[in-house]
Amino acid sequence: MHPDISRLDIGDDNNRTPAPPAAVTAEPNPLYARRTGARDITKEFLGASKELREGQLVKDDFFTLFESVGALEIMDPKMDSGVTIPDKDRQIDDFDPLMPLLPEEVIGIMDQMLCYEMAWHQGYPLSQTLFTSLHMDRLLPTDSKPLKDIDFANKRNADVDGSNLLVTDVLRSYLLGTAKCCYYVMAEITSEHYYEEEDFVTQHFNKYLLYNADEAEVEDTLADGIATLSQLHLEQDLKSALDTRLRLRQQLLLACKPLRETNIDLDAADTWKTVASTIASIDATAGLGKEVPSAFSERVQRHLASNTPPRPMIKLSWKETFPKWVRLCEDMTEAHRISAVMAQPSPFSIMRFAFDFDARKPQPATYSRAVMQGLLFKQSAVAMEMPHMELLLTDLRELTLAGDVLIDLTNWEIELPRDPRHQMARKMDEFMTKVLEEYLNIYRMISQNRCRMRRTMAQSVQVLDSMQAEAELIDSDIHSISKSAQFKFAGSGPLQFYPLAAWAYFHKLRVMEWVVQLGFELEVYLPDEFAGMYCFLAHLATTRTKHLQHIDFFLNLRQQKLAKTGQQARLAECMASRAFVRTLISQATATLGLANALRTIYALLNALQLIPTPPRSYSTPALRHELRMKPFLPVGTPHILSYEELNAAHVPAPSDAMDFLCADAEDGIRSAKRELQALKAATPEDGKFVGCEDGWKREVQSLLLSAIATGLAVVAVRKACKETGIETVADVEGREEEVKRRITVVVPEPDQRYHAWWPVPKVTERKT
Amino acid sequence: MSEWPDASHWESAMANEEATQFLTSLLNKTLRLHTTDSRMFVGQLKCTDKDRNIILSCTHEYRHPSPSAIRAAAEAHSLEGKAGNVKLYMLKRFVGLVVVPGQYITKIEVED
Repeated sequence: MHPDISRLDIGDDNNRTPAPPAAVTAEPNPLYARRTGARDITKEFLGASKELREGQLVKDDFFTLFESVGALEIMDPKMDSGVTIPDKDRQIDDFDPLMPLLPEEVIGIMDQMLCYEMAWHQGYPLSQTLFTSLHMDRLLPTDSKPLKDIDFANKRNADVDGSNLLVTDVLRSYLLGTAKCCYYVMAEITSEHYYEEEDFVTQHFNKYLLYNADEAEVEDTLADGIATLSQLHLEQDLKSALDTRLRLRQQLLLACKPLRETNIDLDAADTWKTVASTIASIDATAGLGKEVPSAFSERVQRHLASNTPPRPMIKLSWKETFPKWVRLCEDMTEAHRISAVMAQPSPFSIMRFAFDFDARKPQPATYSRAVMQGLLFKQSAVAMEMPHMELLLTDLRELTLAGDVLIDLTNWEIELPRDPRHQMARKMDEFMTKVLEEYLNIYRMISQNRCRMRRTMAQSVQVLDSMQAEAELIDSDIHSISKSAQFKFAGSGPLQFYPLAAWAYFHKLRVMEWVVQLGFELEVYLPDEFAGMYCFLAHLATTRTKHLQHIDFFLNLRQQKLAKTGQQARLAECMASRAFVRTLISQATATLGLANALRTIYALLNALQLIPTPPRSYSTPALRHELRMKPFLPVGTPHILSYEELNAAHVPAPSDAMDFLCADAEDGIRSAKRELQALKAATPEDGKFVGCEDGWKREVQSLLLSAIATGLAVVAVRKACKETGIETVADVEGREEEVKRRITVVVPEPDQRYHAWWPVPKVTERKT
Repeated sequence: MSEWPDASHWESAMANEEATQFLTSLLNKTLRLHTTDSRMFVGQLKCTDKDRNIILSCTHEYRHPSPSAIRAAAEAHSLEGKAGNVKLYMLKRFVGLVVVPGQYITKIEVED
């Protein structure tokens, strides 16, 4: 049946080799003649194989067994996407893309494509989504080609009279628009940081996604499609539904244009709003479409360059897809709202903005996060207007160097090497070049998926620690150049401030806290570990509070110094920083209060045996503690609590009175509430959250609710203890069952909490 | 060892050594494996064993065009009024690292 394959030539310059069909004789192809030199060694190979011993492998020394595990087994239908399944393959082989379609069917195909496009955004490969479209399969070549030549390959049914314009023009332009858009999305994602295995599959299976095609040309094709459509005699509602879908492609083409080509486009948010409204009108007419199952098949994978086993099509209904599209539009609009932050840019508001964006639930798609990263990083500037160096300098200025002569920009203009100002500028340059990358990495980390965010932060703690050490060295160098960091304080000798080290320490502490907080969000810790982890968090928050007070102390001294010398501009800068540091202190104290309260309540619940402890055959509390502390162990400061220290700090002694513990928790809640009220009243300028007011408000509110809920839990526990006559921790013994009969404890899932970082136990009385 | 292996052992040991040498000489050469379903795999030999299971790396798969594609090409050919042969391309795609089980291999070629 099949002609002898060995007579065929294999071309190496493109992906096809001339093959004579069954009935025709082969014609030697001079072009490939040089490659025909293949020797038949079947017999020798067979003979040699037989002589091998059982279990003997002849293998390349550099080829490892580990690699071989990844090999695809040919002829295994689960592994080999090339296995023929005649029934299913006929659908593809005999598919005629130019078969006339009803307008309803074209709408159905277009909407199906939108579903697949969204599935692709969610992380499935093109081979299981958009590329399962047989129209797409026939349309897209494997090599770059001029756009006008990219057509449904099969010309034999091409009707000259143009009665099939619905397919040849309308559907074609829609598909081309989709392909170009996919290219844009891929280009945006691959230009930023992402995780292929976790976030997004950038494989294009050797299909040409129009990356060479001129943007305007694709736009023209779509415009032509729309023009052709208007000439067709169709029912009005179908016609306008088709028109809407083509316009959506136009709008998406505009909206997805990669960032680097445009200057920061403030209109991009509007473009996405337009997309959203078009999507809504597509939703309204989705019922008009008629599904065409025969136009899609997962068997296209037989034709796609791929080293993965065959996988099923991803079926998302329009009902499931629509909200996801709406969500994408909202996320994209939100990302472009960075312009509101840039109205009064501060590194702290920018970071908060990026953080809030990533924390949106459900998490923004990889594409949206890539755009967010682009806005933060493209052209080495935030929103392409605040260079990264300036970002870093502003961060230093706003936290520890406000009003300091060290960051006086005129220093950089002094050229005399002996001049201390010149030397200071050199030192600052040295410092900033050293830390810039690691500093920017913080912004990069908070734009990743949540798990990666926690992991990379845990890894960066050590780097931030060495950044702090570096800062300390440069601080002492600067001390020898200038006296700007030396202060006199009543009753003591001259005090030295280490502004750069203090700045680095602050950022390190914050990242450390985030690692612990994200551990709660990502359910890394089990409820019986909560007390210990909150105890650790409280320790970090205490350290941060004290550190901020230390910064404020020196800012105060600097302020007094400046007031004396009457340098108004610097004085104002210094005072603004102090106001900001005060909100930071409030934040840290609120975290501290809430962490203390939750530490105590979980310790209480542990003591009352209301929190289940899962069996852990291979783990001991000490080993678990080591594991949790692992990312932090290499740091010099702060002191990391040992297992014994941590236990002593949160496990109640048998003699501890329940009442006393409850009062302790209530103290924490009170202090948290007080600080949260202060934060609620803070102005965006003081708190540096201009442009993120909504996020700020939401956060403060959710923390307040968490504090209130913790209070309720304390009340319930106190009542249960009283009713069962448990006065001290030692009294619990023998009454566990009685307590359990009275109250139940539920630890809410992350999405049911007031704040994902704060799992407040829900303690309820049982109805008897 | 107390006993000397007998002559047949010597022979088979020799044969094994020779076979191993031959197969080793093919390592990293480009092989073309033809399989029972008329596909051909072209890639570099990385590993093989007694059962002729073969691991190829950087492999391309070659497949015949579908019958309907051949028919269409032949039709187009005659429509255009051309005489002589119809030329069609084998379909090629990259599949990467594969293991072809010995039982499906019908022919092995080595590229020079």
